[in-house]
Amino acid sequence: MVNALVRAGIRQNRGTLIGMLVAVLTATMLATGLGVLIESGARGGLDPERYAAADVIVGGTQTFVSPEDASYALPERVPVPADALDAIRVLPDAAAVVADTTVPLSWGGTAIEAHGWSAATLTPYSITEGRAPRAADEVVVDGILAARTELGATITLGHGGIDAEYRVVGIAAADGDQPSRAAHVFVTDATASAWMPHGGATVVGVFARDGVSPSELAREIHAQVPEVATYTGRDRGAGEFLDAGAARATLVAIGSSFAGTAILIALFVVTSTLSLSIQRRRREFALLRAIGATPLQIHRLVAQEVLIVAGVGAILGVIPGLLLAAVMRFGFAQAGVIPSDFALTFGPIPPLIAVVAMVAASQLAAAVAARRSARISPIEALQEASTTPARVGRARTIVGVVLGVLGLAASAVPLVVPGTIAIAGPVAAALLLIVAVGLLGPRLVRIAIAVLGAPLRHLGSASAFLAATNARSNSRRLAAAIVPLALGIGLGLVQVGTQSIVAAEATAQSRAGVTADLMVTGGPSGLSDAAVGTIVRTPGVEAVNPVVVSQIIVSFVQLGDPTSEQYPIQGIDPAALGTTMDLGVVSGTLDDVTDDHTIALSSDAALATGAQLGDSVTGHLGDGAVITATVVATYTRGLGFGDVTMTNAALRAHTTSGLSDYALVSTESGMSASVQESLGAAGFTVLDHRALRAAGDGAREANSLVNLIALAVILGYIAIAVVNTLVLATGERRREFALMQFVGSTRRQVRAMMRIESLVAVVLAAVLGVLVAAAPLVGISVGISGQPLPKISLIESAAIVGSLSIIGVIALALATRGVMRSAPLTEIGSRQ
Amino acid sequence: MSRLDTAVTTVDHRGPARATAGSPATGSAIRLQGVVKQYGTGTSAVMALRGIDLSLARGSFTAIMGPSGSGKSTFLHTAAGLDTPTSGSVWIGDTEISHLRATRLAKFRREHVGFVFQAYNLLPALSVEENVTLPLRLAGRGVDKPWRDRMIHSVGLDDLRGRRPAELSGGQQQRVAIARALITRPDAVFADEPTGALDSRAGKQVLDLLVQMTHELNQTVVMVTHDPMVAARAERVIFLADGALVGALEGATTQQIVDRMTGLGTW
Repeated sequence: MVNALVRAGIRQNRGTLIGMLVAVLTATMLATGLGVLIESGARGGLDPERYAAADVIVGGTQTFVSPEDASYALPERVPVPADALDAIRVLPDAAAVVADTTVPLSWGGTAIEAHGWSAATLTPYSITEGRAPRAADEVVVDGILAARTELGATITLGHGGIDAEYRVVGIAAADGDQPSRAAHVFVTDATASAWMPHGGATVVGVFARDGVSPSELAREIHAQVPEVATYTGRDRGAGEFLDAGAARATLVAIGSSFAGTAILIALFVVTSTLSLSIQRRRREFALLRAIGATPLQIHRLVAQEVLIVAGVGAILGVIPGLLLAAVMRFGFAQAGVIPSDFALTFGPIPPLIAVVAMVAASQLAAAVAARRSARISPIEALQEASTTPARVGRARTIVGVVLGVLGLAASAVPLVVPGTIAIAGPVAAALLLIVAVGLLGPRLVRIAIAVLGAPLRHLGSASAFLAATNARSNSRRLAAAIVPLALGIGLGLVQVGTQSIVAAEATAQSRAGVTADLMVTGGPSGLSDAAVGTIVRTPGVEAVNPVVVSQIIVSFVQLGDPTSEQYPIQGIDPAALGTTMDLGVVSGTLDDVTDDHTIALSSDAALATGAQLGDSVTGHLGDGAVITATVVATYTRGLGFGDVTMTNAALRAHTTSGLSDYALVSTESGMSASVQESLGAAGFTVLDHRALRAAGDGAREANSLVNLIALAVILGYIAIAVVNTLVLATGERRREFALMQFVGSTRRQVRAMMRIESLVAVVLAAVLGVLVAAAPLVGISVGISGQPLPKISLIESAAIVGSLSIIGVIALALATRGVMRSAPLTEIGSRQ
Repeated sequence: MSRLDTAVTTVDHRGPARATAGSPATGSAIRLQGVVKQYGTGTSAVMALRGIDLSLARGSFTAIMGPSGSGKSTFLHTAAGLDTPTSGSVWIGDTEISHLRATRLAKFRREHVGFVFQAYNLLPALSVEENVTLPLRLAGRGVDKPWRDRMIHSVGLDDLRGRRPAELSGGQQQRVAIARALITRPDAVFADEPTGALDSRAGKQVLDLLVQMTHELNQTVVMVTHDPMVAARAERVIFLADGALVGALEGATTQQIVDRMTGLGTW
């Protein structure tokens, strides 16, 4: 039966259904965009540049999978074991095996990369002018650097803050595309190995024997040495560029953290749009029921209509979704969290999942929305006026109240549990409260209007009176506009607020904790032992504390389950700590941090991992190496300096470059200026100690930019949803507006009434949104900084509340104008 | 108006039912027995029907009249299976519908009951022809094309069968509703103020059509109206007051009906 009915229904209700179509389209667009990010995190990346010639690239396994199956991208290069290299060399199908290590150098303040000349074949580079390096002080430069020098010139290259002079003996160019992500120089293999921090190669390029495909060779290598990772084809880029791996992890993290929220909001929007559009047709369904359509038939009718409309909407949403992903990629690249040349993978799976998910969600929403229309006794529906019922189902109310109470309880977790671990409570609370508001929306709006409406009704203005009365009698319609606005405001405030609370506390800690006078860096490549020695020998220097920062994944057992947590780790020289750094030690002493079997933990980390003084902690360092160490001290300033502290030497052994990131220098009294001068003369970059940024500041900043971008996308979606809902909800009022004009109100009065209604809506949305955000933010603030008043940027908060409010007002104004475009007579005259 | 079928009517709402409970009298198209309809509970309870016993013969044309709040609409809804009685039984044809569940009731309605409402009779999305055959579609039955064409022809909408309701006058819309009510050859047709929203000329045309077609097809019709002139077209007028049957007139004139109504108070 239903086909003709469905077709006719769609034709007839084009206006309403377009609203639904837009809702599903935009939701699919959002889901597709986030899906592409997640898939690109699994597959996307960079094209190989310098390893373009090698058939197979072999590297250490750059991911760590924890016992509980969480996967982490390792931030440091994992070396290829020497015996693995030997095993690959003897493979019959490997025609040539070339080991390579990239050494970071600085040349006049810019970072360049150095390699042994033998690794030039991996690109391959060949000499265009001059010859290959033969002596230890000879160097070949690539095309990028050739512009800065000439054959026969002497140039100064710095490694780890120690400069040396080299003679340019050759200029090399790649046979294919010129590598452009970095500038390269080639030295003799002997010079390169001397720089290699850990003695071994980190990347091995393998050329296949004629007739052997790269993937075949990769399989053989993998069979021989299963502990290494092999890359072929485009994927070699992931082996070449460590930041590609990090970018992948970032994309997965962003995609998945926002996917949940986005889908939640999309569900709300699609459901409320759908129930609005179905409510508008109650009379139609009532007639169908009266002349003998069964409830099941009504359900099926609605389901099929929605299937067609949502299906079309979802499919139309795919292309904009792919574009959205591209736009987000651009934004993330600008924010610096992914390389600017990182390519997304546009596979069929994310759009497919997005379409299926949104169609399924709309079917679910249709089933819920059709329930009332299908179950209602036909006469009841025929008699019911065209106003929408303000009732909210009992089950919905109960679930909403329960979630709201849970949310408030979770917000209070930091009051009873100390430390950053407790902020998981408020973070979850924000989601719970958002869902609660979504469920209780109409009810909350009704209560709020009862409070707010009374003064409006007594204002003496006809428009204000009508607006207040309308709002009261039709709170559900108003709620459809208020709830998404409130969700957007609440979500935005929590997201932005959490970041600024953490960042403010981290900065405060590092400011308070650095007691050194100066901070010294060795240019782009870091500080070597020799450079630290130079600083120590500088007259007037009291103590030098070389600091290296990396990441550690600590594994522990929480409530009986294996758990892992990634923490920033710093490597310091405990002997020089006294006058350079105050970590706020609460137990034990940092003097006991002596080797790679002793570490100190921040009190947050100690609490989270359940480790106490004297306990043994197991973790994986940046290069995946396992350490088991005894906790010898705990300290408070974990956010500022890193939650784990070990010795500089022990940590540097597990970083890519093997160099310290900076050194904190304390000077004898009155010598600060002269020390600064001598170090500057020696080629070091010397900064005031205030320049030190809190551990993880860079990552946090990038992260907050990423969050802002993703937030902007979600807020954009909410904006579309609100406009859509309002147009839909206002369209329903054509007759009302026409009637008002007949009984003597001017168009201006109608518009004024709608303006007041929209103001009521945005004020309520702002209040609800701020309330949703307030409890979790206070909880987070207590957990992080001990302060009940969250340190959040007023400007950012005002921007979020303001932008959404403006969206709401504009949307309603546009919708009203659109509805009043036709003459009142045609509206009143038109038959139902 | 010819009376080929003699009406067997019980208009004694206090007396005992004539037929044995549980087995409907054959020949009656609609039968109500001890039908009570109560809305709400406790002190706010409203008795809309206070025990109606009534049997209407196949092919009869009955008008229900009564002042506002007399229970006319409730009576119609309950008798037509749009609503279930609080107690008592309703038979349409050989089926007791008063205890059917919603889905069974809906299926029964589309096979055995036709409706003509005062307004909003038609689905705006469907053409005249589609609206007429809607009950058949809902039942998943094939459309008997000659029968459909005869229905559309009989209501005089041959030329408008492709139009949508918004393109029809009010009278035309009601004629479509009549065709739709008759398309399934139902056991009974219920009409709720079928001319209430029309001007008197269009109303007369629609009423003529209803009388003529139901007579031709030997259809049983129950019509609720507040208009004595409309009620006068029925073979029999039954008066309702305060939820109870209070009398009946056979072949009454408009004036007789007006007098009777005036006796019942405001209307």
